[in-house]
Amino acid sequence: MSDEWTPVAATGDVSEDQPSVGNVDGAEIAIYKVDGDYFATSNICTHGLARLSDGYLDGFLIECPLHQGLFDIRNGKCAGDPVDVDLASYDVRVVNDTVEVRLRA
Amino acid sequence: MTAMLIIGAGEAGIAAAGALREAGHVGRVLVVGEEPHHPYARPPLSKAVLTEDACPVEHIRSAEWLEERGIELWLGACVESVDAAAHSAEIVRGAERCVVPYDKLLIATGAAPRHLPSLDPLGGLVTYLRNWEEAIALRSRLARAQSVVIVGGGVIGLEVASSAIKLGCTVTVIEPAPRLMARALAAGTSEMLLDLHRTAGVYVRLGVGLASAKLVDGYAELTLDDGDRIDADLVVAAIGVVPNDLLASRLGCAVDQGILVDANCATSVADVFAAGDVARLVHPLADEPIRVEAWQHARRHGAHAARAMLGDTSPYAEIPWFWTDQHGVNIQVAGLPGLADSHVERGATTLHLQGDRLIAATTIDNGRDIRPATKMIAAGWSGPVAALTDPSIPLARLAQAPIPA
Repeated sequence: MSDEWTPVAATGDVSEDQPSVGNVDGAEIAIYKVDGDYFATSNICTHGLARLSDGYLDGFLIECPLHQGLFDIRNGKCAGDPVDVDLASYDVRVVNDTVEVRLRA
Repeated sequence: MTAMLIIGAGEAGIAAAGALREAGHVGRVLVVGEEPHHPYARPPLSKAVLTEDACPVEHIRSAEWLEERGIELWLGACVESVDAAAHSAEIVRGAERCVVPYDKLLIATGAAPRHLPSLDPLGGLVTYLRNWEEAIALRSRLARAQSVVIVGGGVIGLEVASSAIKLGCTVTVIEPAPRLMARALAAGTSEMLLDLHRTAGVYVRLGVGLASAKLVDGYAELTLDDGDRIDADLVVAAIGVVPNDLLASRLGCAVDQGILVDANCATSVADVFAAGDVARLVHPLADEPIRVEAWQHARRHGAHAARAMLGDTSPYAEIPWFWTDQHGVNIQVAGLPGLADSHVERGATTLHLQGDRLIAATTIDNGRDIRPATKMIAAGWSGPVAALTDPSIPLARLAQAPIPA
């Protein structure tokens, strides 16, 4: 269920260079690491059909690889055209070297 | 209070209106558009609008967004003439004709499809594609068509080819140049694209032009320069665009294949600016003035013009960028590959150099490289090719590193 924590990755598998991909209730999510902190959003751009994990991470902004739309990975909010629908975003915690996420209400 | 008049309600015009408010302009902002529709995005017209049953129109900005900012929008309105000395424009709006005074004027009238007279005998079997009506009409005709001929192997022609194949049509593309998208792509990318279209089942005829066209029993019969004949029940003409620069020319602006503007979007006439597809601008990447026909450029150039209208003198130096989606493959180009003299492959990214300076990048399903490449191009990266070819060094890291001496 979405109100429960779901383990999605081992901390050692998430790099600062490129987002990792995980799965929650059948939904693909992207897991990001910036300055040691973890963040998670839906992995699918709300504009074209593209994986954000194939995109370019610049600070807290993930850029879609298809049309350069920008989202803030901290809250899933749109941060640059052409996107205008926010991403689902997830709360993240680390338990025993495992990244766990929970859909944010 | 100063009044800003913007002619053209496409990406450049709307971006300019928004940027005027963002920069704190409190006087009048009036945008005048010829089309009756609320301003909409054009990139989907050759893609999703053609292939999806009821693809919704994508507005550039909502009516509320414009209203909140006090931006006036006159649709279905036509600027008949501009008196630059008097600083006023004569506008026809429905049955009404009025004279609108302005302090600064922005011309963002875009471009129109280039007309191909040799197709005129085909009458209604020929379609051009630029606006919403044309896209909707093309969609319903593609759904019924069996054999489609597309004249022009540029980005619009090829996106339509990709959409038409998806809809089950037999598709032929005729391009007189020896390669596809020759103006926009390096030769290697054109070759990959040709392969992509042929694999998808598109018949591509390169290096041969259209000699004549006639109607035979309700079908189009096209004769090529080499004598070959092709029958079609639908012909799409996509041979590029011409800038809508007549109004500017009449009011006295210097015009040469587009309205000539400096790095601040200023035309040769005082207080008259131009931006987007219609403007031919000086750009740091090119020796000659260039026109850039691309969605992102239109927005950025329009916003830049707005700031220039308010007195900002920083030069426009945004790196041109476009994408195209064909047969499920995403191609992106930053910079001007046509000016390159050598090319370096890095997996799915090609870097284009002029001497040892990076001036463009092309990605195939690898958009993540575009932003770092754009940074490098803008910063004037130059250096040994060996520094670019090592795939173990992410481009993002090269973009952050100091530029080698």
